[in-house]
Amino acid sequence: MDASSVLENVLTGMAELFGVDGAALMLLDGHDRLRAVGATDDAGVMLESAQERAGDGPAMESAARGGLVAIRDLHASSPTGFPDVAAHALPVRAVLSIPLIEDSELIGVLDFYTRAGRDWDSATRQTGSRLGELLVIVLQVLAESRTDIASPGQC
Amino acid sequence: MGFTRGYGMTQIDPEALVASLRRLQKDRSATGIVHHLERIVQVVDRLFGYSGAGLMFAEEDRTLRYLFATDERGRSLERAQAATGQGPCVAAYAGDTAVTSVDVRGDVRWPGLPELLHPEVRGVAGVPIRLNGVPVGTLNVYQDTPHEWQESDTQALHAYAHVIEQVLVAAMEADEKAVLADQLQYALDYRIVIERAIGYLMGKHDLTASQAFTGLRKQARDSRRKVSDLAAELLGEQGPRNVANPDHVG
Repeated sequence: MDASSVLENVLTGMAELFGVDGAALMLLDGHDRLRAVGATDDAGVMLESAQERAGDGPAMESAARGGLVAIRDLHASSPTGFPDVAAHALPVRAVLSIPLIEDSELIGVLDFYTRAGRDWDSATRQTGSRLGELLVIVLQVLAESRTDIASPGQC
Repeated sequence: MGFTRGYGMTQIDPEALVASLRRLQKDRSATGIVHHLERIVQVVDRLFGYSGAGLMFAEEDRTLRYLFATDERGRSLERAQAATGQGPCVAAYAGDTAVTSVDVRGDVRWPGLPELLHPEVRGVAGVPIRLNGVPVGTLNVYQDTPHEWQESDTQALHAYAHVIEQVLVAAMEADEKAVLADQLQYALDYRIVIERAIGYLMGKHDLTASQAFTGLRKQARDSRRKVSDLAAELLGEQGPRNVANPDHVG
């Protein structure tokens, strides 16, 4: 099983564990840009792609602040929502963006999302943070996976 | 972007993933699967709010041995099951299914356990960890009071165990299976050295097992050393040697 398949299974498992509609991952590339890496469904891909194109959105804000960003309704007017991003990710309403930190350095952002608006209470935010910690460990294991890294075109 | 669709609806951009993983790999040496597993188990009880958690893995003869526990109480749970060959986690492994106990101290299924358990180990749940569909160990959690486990609890534990399985799969991609097995075997072996060192400290300083374990861990942390190395030094012997990669574990 390659890194993509492992990540696919882990994201799906985390969304299930968290009880949300989907999970999406953006990681910093070699040029310190957040890049859309994967999502559990089309809505997640749209969310990440819209943020990557706009250079804005909850994941971007989470990366900039190094903290959690909880959005009740992405379609709401700024500053509570991100209407420009929402316009290209219509199915997505609520988003919880969790910064992924490894050794005090940001490596990416994990987004959980739902298709209905919702509040993210403190207990839910804490659970999200723990899942972020877990994903960092998974990414470290994948990074140590020599076979995946050695052949970038292979996946 | 080049997203590819997985077996379900999941979509991953392999090129972006590999670029980011390559960045992550820079300037860091591999820490080894056992270290990652320990961290994952430490996250599990903070995630669910349990009193503690642990991992047990099976040896070649299918005997479960404890690999890691988040505290002394959890350690007693795994040690008691390894010693008696019975308990919720042993049953979870043998039956390849989730097994729970509202209060393991009064559970008639495992009469040999209570006398070996820390008194604060009460509600226990174990779920199998599988590789290629075959159970290879268990993820165990406990509560320090009797606990009525709900189906949602075991579903969440199964999902978490599934993440652990994915980590094992990824590690197997990184290292040949034999090396992974060596690392796990090494971890299982060095626990014996730690157990012996705890017994030594208990006898010498009139400590409880919990005090001895906590003290050993603290001293290892303060001196930035592996617990297993410190334990071996206390016993005046060399720790178990990992032939495959001595830097990977501990």
